[in-house]
Amino acid sequence: MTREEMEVLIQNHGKSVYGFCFHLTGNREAAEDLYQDTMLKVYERRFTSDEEDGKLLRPRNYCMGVAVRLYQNHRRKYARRQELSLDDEGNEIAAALSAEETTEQTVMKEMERRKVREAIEALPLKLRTVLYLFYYADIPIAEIARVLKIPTGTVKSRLNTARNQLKDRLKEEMGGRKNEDGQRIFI
Amino acid sequence: MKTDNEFLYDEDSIRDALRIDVEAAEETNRNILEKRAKPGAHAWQRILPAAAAVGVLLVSGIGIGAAAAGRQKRQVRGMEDNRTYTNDPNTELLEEVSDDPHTESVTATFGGDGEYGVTHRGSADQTSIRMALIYEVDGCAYYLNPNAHVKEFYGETTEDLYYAVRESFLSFMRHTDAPQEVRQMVIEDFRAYAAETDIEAIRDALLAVISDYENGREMLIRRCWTLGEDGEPHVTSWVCEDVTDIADEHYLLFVTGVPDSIYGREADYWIEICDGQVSAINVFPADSPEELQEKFAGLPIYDRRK
Repeated sequence: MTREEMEVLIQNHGKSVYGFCFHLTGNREAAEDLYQDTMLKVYERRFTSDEEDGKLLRPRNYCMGVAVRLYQNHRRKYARRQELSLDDEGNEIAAALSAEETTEQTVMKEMERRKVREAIEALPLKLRTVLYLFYYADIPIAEIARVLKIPTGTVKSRLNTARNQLKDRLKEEMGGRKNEDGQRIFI
Repeated sequence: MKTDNEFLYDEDSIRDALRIDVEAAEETNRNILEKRAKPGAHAWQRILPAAAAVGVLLVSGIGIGAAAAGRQKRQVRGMEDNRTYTNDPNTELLEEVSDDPHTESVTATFGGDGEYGVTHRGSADQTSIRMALIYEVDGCAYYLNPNAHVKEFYGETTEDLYYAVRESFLSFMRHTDAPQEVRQMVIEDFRAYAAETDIEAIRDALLAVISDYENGREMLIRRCWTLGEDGEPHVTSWVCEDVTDIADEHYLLFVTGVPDSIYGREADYWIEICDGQVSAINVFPADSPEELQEKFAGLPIYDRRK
């Protein structure tokens, strides 16, 4: 890949790939490492698949696949150095909120987002990875299978398992109290 | 306002929760364009081609022998060794193969069924032979041959290497009748191996499999096969999955009596079907349909045994 091609890749997809690395690692410092390693690997690589006339067909997805493999292979290196720091980036998230919402609504919404994010964070890596690719990167199931080099059915089953586990975790999170009859009370 | 998980949990909530607006530092992008590695560690510099990795495995394998001095253990160097040290019913198979004038090398290794069979034959590449380790205890021989599996991944990624090493280790640990003494030797060797190698991926793989094993984490190791044009199953990938990973859209088709070109005998398979397509054919002779049913908790299993 030429320098010019890499510049275009960073310009068009750098932010998205970095966001993906951010989700995988959970903090900015490790995300920078993973992102840089990923892009350098892509830069160095002589493509043998997923290319046509020496150009990557789906560069963003390809980069995310490389990021996943690097993260899996060197997880200790990118180990979470602190608890989820997305909240530290909260301003950027909050910026997406509607201006018409009241302060209370804004706070409640952000709390909900945090709960969902924390529940996702608690999932096993392979489930989280599929979830990020599907919901964050908006990559279709068949393409995720290609990126991760796993069968389509496995992607579906992981998504299904991830959703179920997410639901259970949120249920546990939100319904921790029980009444005298042992029935769960949602608060 | 959402007040319980039913409200919190929907696809839009997940998308919303994952929406972030962050960018890499400009310096990082500059580093990439200049191909500058960050100080300390960089995967693109350290991930070696698989060929180099295999080479180090070999060197380390020899190191293991030294580390385990005083123990009755040998590295296999030829067909005669295979014959000499096997106490397995498959001995005949090994001898039969060795008579083939085109066979330059034969490697026996433990399969998922807990028996060892020929995994490589007729190859000019002797690496798998050299790497095989034999543990001899009380007159019985136990083989462990990580490289035989690693070789399957020649040219593939370090992730594959990790799975290969793990598969080899776990298949040995879970499916053989090796006594505790031998198992402990294997663990010690893997630790010594990890201490010697300077390839992070291999070290991590070795330590992870030991940790998984010692912590009792059960993994189902699937060999994924596809049917070739010759009607024979061929290994296409090796996947380690939690048993729970099989979901509703999968069906398991249990068959027996399929000619197994690798083990040279008839074997049982369970075939995984997703969305009407055969996605994997797995050899798992140890499991009956009832055992599979129990493992996969209610999944439909179609018994096509003869």
